[in-house]
Amino acid sequence: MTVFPILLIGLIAWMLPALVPRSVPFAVRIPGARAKEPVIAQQRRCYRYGIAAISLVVAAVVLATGNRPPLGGLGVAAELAGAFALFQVARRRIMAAKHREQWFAGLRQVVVADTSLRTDPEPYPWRWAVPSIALTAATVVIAILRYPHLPARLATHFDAAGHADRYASVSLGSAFGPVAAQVLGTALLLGLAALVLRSKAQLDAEDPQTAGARHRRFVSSGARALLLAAACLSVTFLLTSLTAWKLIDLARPAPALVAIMPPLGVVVLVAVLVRVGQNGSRLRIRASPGTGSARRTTAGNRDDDRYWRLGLLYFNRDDPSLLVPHRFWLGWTLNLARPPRLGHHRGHDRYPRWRTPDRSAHPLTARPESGDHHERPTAVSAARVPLRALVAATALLIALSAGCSGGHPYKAATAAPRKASGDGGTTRELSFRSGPDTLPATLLSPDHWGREVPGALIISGSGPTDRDGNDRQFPHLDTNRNFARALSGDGVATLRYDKLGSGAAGLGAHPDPSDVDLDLYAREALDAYRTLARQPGIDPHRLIVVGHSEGGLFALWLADRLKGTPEAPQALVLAAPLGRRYLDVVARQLTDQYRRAQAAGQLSAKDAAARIADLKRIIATLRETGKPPAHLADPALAPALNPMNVAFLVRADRLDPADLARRLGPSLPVLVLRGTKDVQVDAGDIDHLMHGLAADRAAQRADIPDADHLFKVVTGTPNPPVDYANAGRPFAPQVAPRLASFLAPLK
Amino acid sequence: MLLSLEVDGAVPLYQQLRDRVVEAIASGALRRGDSLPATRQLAADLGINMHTVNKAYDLLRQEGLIRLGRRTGAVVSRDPASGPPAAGEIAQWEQQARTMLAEAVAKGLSPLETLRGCQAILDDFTAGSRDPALLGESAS
Repeated sequence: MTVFPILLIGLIAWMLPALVPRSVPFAVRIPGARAKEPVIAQQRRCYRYGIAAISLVVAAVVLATGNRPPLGGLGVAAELAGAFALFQVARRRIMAAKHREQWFAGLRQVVVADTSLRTDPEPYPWRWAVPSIALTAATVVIAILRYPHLPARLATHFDAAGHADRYASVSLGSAFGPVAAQVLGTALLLGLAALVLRSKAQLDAEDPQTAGARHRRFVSSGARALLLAAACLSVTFLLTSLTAWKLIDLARPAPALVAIMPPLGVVVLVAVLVRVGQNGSRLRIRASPGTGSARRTTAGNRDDDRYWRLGLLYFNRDDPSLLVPHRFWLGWTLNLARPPRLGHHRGHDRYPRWRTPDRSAHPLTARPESGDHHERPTAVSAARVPLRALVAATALLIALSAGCSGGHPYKAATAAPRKASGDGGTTRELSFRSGPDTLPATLLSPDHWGREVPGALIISGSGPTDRDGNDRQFPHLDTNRNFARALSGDGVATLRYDKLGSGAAGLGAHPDPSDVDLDLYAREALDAYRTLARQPGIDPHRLIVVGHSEGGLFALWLADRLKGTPEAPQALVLAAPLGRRYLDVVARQLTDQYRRAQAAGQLSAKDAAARIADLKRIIATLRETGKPPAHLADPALAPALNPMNVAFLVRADRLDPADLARRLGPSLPVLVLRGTKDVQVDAGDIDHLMHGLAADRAAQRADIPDADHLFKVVTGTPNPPVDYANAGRPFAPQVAPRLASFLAPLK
Repeated sequence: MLLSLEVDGAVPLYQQLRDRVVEAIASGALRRGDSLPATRQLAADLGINMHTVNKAYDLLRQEGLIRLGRRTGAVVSRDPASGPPAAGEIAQWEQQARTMLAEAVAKGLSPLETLRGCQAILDDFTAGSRDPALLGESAS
């Protein structure tokens, strides 16, 4: 018997060059006009002689040495290794000729899809599934009826002649184990048939009409063959179970039947695939009326060799396909760059997050999110591939039950007409959904005709700061807008948005201000980021996050949240960011304020000391109870400690920016900017943050001379209330070049 | 309907995809109520990133040509039979037509020849029989 597989494999290997499409001889993509190049015919001859010689020699050796079991396996291995080597030689020689003679030079390369394959798909051949389902159902029913009457000892293994040679005492496991295996195996093959029907349609761009028809026949034949194989498997299982349960005697009626069924399934599958050829290449497709050679296009197929490692393994990160037709073998293979992820449209993240930090420990991320997901294929290390294949195989079943239909993870993102602006580019007003809120935003795109540009999300500082960086009190600060202009000048598009309670956003769906907390702002930032990622003209693989002041905290949070996912930002810019825990910064700011008041004679030394001391108590109380103390030494603090602010502060205070920074990993580029005349975030705060970034080799700090918290130039001693009201101050000129040099690697 | 994209062309893929769908609607290959493939499936068949298809669909949705629903997927929501466009809907088109015609004038095509060329293209659409994929190729 061991010679049989050797000869079958040899035969298939010998036939393979004729079974694959002419546009990929030996897994090398060629233009149709080159199909008759002598090098191809010559390599095919060499390969076939080689295969014939190897197969016959191996078979002869196995036969001559008495056809003992281990030798048969070794023979198959030797034969496969030989076939692989012959294939590689042929492939390399053809590839060499292709590159030397530049077969693709001057050809217009296109990819073609036939939408009717999807909108009017091949129906699932349920009638072909009936035998396997019926046999499996019968097994289950008989098992249930027979269970109470089973003998004490069950046969679990049979020799080739059908005699039981191993036994187990009866239990639920030994009685129903084989039944469960049968159910699982049948379901797996049924699911695989469904996946085959949905598998990638790689159409020949030189004759897409015919290719579409070939694809239909290829997948429907493949699916049917799988269902027949499932039926063969079920017969074997049913017969062995019946014997084990002493309902029939396998040794008498059908010893051969059981032994023959599994190979028969394989033979059916192979025969069907040989008949239709890979991608249906061996089928004769009658041209539909009105078509014919006139319909052949002038374009050629895309040279996609780079996605096929060794011509056998498909590895394309951009391609969301799971199953793709083999290039030089029968049937389908997996896209190995593709993590098996299912139900992607249901708002769940199911792909493995092997690099994501523990979320349960993180108050912000513990919440489920309803935001839409844009997932991209991730990079996969080669070592994970076997695991991946295993997961993919087991996931097929879930895919089927999950209904795995391609959904549209869209949310409203309305757009107003584009208009040119004085900001160096084109601005577009749009809005996006975040939870129950719709938030307005501005997209500023640099003028880069037709090319995708990097995108940056700008996150505002604290308080009701709008997308431009302004609030009612100071409508001309323009901090965010200045950063947007600088980035636009550098070829980076920016999205800036009105967070809840600022600008045009209002407080809409939140009558209770205390539910407007840190999590909500974090979600807004995430939703804004995803909105940016799907804007036309923006490269979703080159996104950065710019956080100003408190926005720096959200930028860090966002980077931490998306770390290790395909959505992760490529760089962070932290402009005068919050450097310590929130309440520590507030305490320091107030302490400075009291000292200045004391120096100016507005506050007695005793009162100043009392207020500074009281700050410690207030912060301790806030951290302990989540509420401010009833009595405040400084009554002016009461309005600032309203429930909305307190809810936010207490939540934000749990996050130490330096801790978040520490989790970014060793290589995320981070630029920390600070104005030397910033009195809101002082050098000590930034030092604290930089400690957190000490392990990040790509983090850098830039001190901008004479700039304040808003990166505007201050002459003399900074005095924020007066400075901020002065609309005429320029944006610090050193910022733009600093950004440009930091972002240069993204270009 | 066949969709053909030039992979190494100067025009971004999502733009090409959007253009092919618009042409298919114009030529009658796609009609109001017709479905487009799911994002993932189309991206898989073309071997391109899902985001690219997403972007093209989003663009078409913004232009009011398709509807996107969680259940229904992408469905063509307007075709030549849906009646004349609202005033605001063709502002962007006028802008682009201006540039296209400017190109013809700048390259020395006479107004008559230009008009004749435009008429020939329009006839193709109204004939309703041509394959949009081929049309896309001859136009590029």
